[in-house]
Amino acid sequence: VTTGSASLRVDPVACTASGLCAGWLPERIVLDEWGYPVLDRAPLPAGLVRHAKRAARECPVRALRLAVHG
Amino acid sequence: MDLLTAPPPRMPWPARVDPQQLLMLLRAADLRGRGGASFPTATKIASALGRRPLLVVNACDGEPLVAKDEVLLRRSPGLVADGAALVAQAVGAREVVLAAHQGSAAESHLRQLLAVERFRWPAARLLAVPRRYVASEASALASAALGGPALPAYHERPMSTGGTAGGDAVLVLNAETLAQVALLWAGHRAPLSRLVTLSGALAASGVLEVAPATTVADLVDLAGGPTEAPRAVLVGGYGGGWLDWTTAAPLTLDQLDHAVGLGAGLLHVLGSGACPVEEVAAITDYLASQSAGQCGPCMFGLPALALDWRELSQAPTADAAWRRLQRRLPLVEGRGACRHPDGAVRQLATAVQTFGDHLQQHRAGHCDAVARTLVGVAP
Repeated sequence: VTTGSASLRVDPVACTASGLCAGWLPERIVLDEWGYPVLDRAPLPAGLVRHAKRAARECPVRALRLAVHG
Repeated sequence: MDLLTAPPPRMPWPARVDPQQLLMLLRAADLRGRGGASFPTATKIASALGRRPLLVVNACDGEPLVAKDEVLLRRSPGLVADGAALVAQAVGAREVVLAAHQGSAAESHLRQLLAVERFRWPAARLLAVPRRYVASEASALASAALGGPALPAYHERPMSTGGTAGGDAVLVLNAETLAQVALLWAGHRAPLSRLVTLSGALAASGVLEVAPATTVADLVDLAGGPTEAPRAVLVGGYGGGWLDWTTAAPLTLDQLDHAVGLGAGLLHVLGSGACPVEEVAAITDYLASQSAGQCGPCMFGLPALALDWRELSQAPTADAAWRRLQRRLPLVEGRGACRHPDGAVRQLATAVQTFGDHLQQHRAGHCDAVARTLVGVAP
């Protein structure tokens, strides 16, 4: 079920540790002890792409990105 | 040798540079960046072809103990100038930016170079950046060269292909790397020499040019020998790797590069009279203080790691500190916009491996470096 077409990135300079992304996509994002996201950067399975897009959209500083390949 | 004592005659100018021919030379010699990251130079240059990049010449010696770029510019400025001219011509650079720390000797060498060499470059200017550790990191230099602050910047695509914030292509190359390009163009071939900065418990610290087959023990002899029995060496820079003396001494520079990475070419000898717990603490504190404070894992992670190291050396806190370090070291690595936190992690992780016995002494209330019982530590 892996599309192999999209994966998560975070701009660490922009990130302000709102923690919202981990709320929207707990399957792929956990927060470190300081509240900053630790991403699973493997390609997203198709079923998670919609949630990943939502997580990216909800980031207050747009630090979370969905990198689309090929 | 070639870079410092017997550079070839200056390159005739104007030169016609076939980019593919230049790239072939660099690939055949497997030239890798001498600024610290050891990235293949041909790959970096090829990625900027046809993009009219800014060419930034990094002569900052960003590692505080390293002085090779300054020595190279003093002894063989023509080689750096020729290398910059060759690469600028090959990639069709729109401007050459000569970068050094404000008020450094390298800055005045570059100012002279600019006055004399201007005609070989499309356009050229000097860029003086603050004396901060991360100000000379490639993305920080690129940002400063484009008129922004000298702070590391996040980019998803390589800067050489236009990955900077405004989409400009910026090709950042270290001064020694460019000098090697000029040597290869002049007909020199691999094995390429290396500039190594020797520091620490040595009779004659300084910058040497040596063959990659030189061993660490030979290097120490070339630097006048040790002033006390060596305990360990720090390789690459403050963000480099520790090796104990017995392991490091017989290794050649090539082997050392494989083992821990040669980084910016530092070889710092820690003598038996110095305490590694204190030395590593001082370096880790320094690296934490030099975070640009932009990325969470770096601005919070490095001070946390520095505290963990201190607690690792004290019996009551050692076990908890060990568990925290095991969790934090991999967590902090690779999560900044630049590689500053990665270097701090490498230095600390190799210190944990190298100085296990000495940490144990401290926990038992002793330290062989100062040959006395530590005050305030319960045995």
